[in-house]
Amino acid sequence: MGSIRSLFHRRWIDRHALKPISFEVAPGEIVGLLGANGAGKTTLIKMLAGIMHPSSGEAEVQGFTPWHRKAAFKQQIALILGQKSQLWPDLPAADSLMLLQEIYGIEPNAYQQRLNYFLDNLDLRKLLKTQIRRLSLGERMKFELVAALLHEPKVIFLDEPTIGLDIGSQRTIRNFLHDYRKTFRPAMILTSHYMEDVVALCERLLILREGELVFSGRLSEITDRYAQTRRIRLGIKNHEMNKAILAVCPQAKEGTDESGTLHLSVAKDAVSETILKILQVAPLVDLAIEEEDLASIIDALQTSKAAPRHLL
Amino acid sequence: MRWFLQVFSGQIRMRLAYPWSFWITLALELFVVASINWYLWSAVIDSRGGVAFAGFPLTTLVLYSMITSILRRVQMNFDQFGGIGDDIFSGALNKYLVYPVSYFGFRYAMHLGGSWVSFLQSFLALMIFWMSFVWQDNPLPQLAALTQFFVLVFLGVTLRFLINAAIQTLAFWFEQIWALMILLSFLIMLLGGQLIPMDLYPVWAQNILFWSPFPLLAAWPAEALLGRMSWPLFAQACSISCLWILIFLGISHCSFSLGVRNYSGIGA
Repeated sequence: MGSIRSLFHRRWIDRHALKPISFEVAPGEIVGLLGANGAGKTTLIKMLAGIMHPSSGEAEVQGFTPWHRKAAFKQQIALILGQKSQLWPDLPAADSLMLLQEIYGIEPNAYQQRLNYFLDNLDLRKLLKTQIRRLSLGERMKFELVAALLHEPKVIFLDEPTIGLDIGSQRTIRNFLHDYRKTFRPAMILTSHYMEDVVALCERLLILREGELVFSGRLSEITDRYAQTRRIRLGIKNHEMNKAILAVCPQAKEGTDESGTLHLSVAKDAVSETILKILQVAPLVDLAIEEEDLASIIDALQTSKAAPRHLL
Repeated sequence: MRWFLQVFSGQIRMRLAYPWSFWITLALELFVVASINWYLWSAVIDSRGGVAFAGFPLTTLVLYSMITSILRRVQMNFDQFGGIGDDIFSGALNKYLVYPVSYFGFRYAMHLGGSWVSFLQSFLALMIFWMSFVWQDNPLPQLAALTQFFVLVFLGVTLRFLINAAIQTLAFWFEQIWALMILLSFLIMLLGGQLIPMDLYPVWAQNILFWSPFPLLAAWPAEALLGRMSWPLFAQACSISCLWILIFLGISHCSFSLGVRNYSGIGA
């Protein structure tokens, strides 16, 4: 019935994809923009790349308002969308790259020099004359990077550049981006759902939840600020000692396996004190202290339902 | 403007990468159009007691319909239902918006490249048909007719691109605009003399349509190729064509500038 009704009368709902947020990215810095699906990451990137026009607010990229779409602004940015291609699928990559040379007005010598850099670093030389549609996803993504970086942009927006790639290709792209940043020092904003990308590339994180910026800071600050507990895993020789340990550490829980392992979650300031207490009542065969998983903390930050109270 | 030539030539190479599909559909279309028109006009002329229309013997009518059919194909290109409207709907516009060159310029270069390949192949097929079957009643075109034809085809291709653009930019508001494109095709077919020559329309309709953009797309180029267009009429056709090109350029540009503010880049 709803579908038939909508033929005659449609109801429009205004939804704010992004609430007011403020941040800066310095040259040479890679900032990770994280958030659950629909949090507003891609919307933010599209606004900063000049694709979308916001209903209100201001932004400045290299001194330009992005959505004015000045040619001089576009010369300085690059947008890499992991799920979209800017290359012509029926032509060899060389043809698309030559077109980009003309679009960005790159001098022939500079073009050749940059092309050589990319081909050597991404191991693409032998694929330059292969039709794009015949390349694997990983190879295609490498050419997408070349296409986007050929004009040496000062600001790079990377929207899930490793999505769908195998582990080897992910690593290659991560290593390349790492080296590229060191050599050319552009400002980069990266969105990714892969923790490996975030940990390997980003020094600073911005976490969005339902269009709101809920965290802005260095990667290390996340664990410092939000990982308030440590997990202690105890291997005990004699199971009869469990009761004694539980008596001094009531918060300890018995493991589900049959190895007799005990798991404790204790405040990070109380770790050494707790271990000393345990050692006084029971001999241990194994002891491991683990930090809270970074992915779990980020997940808790970016999804309100999953977020434990102490994280918010 | 070197990028324009690169896009143009890239599009040509892309089209030539798969020539068979074009030739098969072209051959089939020409066969069907020639057969239908042959039987239809034979029946019409028979019903008039064998008296042909003034200046339009049976073979000329068939040839006319084949020329307009080819021109429709050349102008429609493959972006009739895709192109700008599809870019907006699918979010493919995103990649063009970050290029420091004009989006319309980029799309126009693609359209011209695609049309050029279609035109060369279709024109070759038409000439083969002309020389094989209808050259006795219809002498092969002279240099003057060919010159007029090429100029009017170029203007027609440009005009059709801009008419399409004006309609397709409505996708910023309506998302799916293919129904409008079908409606436009029918309008052009009916009002642009693509089915029957404009000379066979009632005089009042001819007088009105003369100033419209529709006959510029196929009827007038076809008449030029058949050697039926005087130089003053050709000059008039070019002037009207340029005027409509400017009008649709203005409309499509305004529509794009307004619409892109609503664009959300969904789908990418």
